Amino acid sequence: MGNLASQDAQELEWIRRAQRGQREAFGSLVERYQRRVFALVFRLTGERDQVEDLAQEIFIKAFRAMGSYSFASSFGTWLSRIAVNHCYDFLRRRRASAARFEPLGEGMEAKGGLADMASVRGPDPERAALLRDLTSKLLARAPRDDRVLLVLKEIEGLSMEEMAEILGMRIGTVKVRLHRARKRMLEDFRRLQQRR
Amino acid sequence: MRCKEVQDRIVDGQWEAPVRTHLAACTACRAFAADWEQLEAALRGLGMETGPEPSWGFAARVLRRLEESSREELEFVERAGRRAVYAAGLVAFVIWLAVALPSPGPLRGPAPAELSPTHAQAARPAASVFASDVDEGEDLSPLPVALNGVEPK
Repeated sequence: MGNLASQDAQELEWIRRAQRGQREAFGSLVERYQRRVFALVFRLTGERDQVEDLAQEIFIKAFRAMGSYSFASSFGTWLSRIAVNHCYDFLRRRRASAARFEPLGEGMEAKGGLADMASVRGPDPERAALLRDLTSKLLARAPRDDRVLLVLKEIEGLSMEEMAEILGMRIGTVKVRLHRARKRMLEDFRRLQQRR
Repeated sequence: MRCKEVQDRIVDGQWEAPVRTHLAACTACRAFAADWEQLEAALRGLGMETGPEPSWGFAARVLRRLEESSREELEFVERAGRRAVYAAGLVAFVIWLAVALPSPGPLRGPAPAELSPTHAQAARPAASVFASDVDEGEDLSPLPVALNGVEPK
């Protein structure tokens, strides 16, 4: 997500002007970070249709919170924290409102042959695509804490320090939780393979 | 090393020599490691997939929404302020009415007969506050009051 040193003078100027309420300057920040926010929202929620609305809400929240940005971390990390919290709330509301994510159960095989996909191995691109599809579905069904941790680490490739900053946790806590999330995900993955 | 420890290290990405030695001898841990590698690669592969891209004019739409929401907030504050002014005006008017209008007086005033003394009261002289003014024939002894529960004789 970039460190503090990577913020160029232009970006610092935009941030300071946006903190004074200048919307045009904030618009420049939106243009610079929109792709990153879109990607993060999509990976965290898996909801293609909701990405634009969620991203808009994230930037509006960010504008209102600009005064609280203290330059302690990079703007990208600070913005990611807002995005993760917003997506986290979205996932909680979605899970509360509808049981869209069935737990891994007996019906899994009927839903697109996930167990079949779990058994594929090898460097074949087609099989790799099937595996990615399976992983994406497993991720969608994972507990939301696990999902957030796995997305930030395995997909976004953040460091433990960045994750700790975004999630507001100590590095040790992030390591422990990530370890458990990885093991749970792997257990689900292996369970599907054993069914075959 | 025990299998659980080896598997924990694999998941944490710590493939040191003791782990590799164990893997060479343990089929179960080799299968575990292979599965983890597959899953890890698939997760990384998700990062390479392209998600939805921001459509043209996204930043402008964000700014428009910001403007709309701040206008709505301003209108809300104005509405609330206007209501507060109306309410304060109404309270002030009621207070002014209460103070400025002449009082209608008590609902039931005393009747003239109640205000004028009776014949008996008018005939009796007003009691004096001085003892010397008391008529000689008047009994000034204290009233018989029970003291400590004993009736005076």
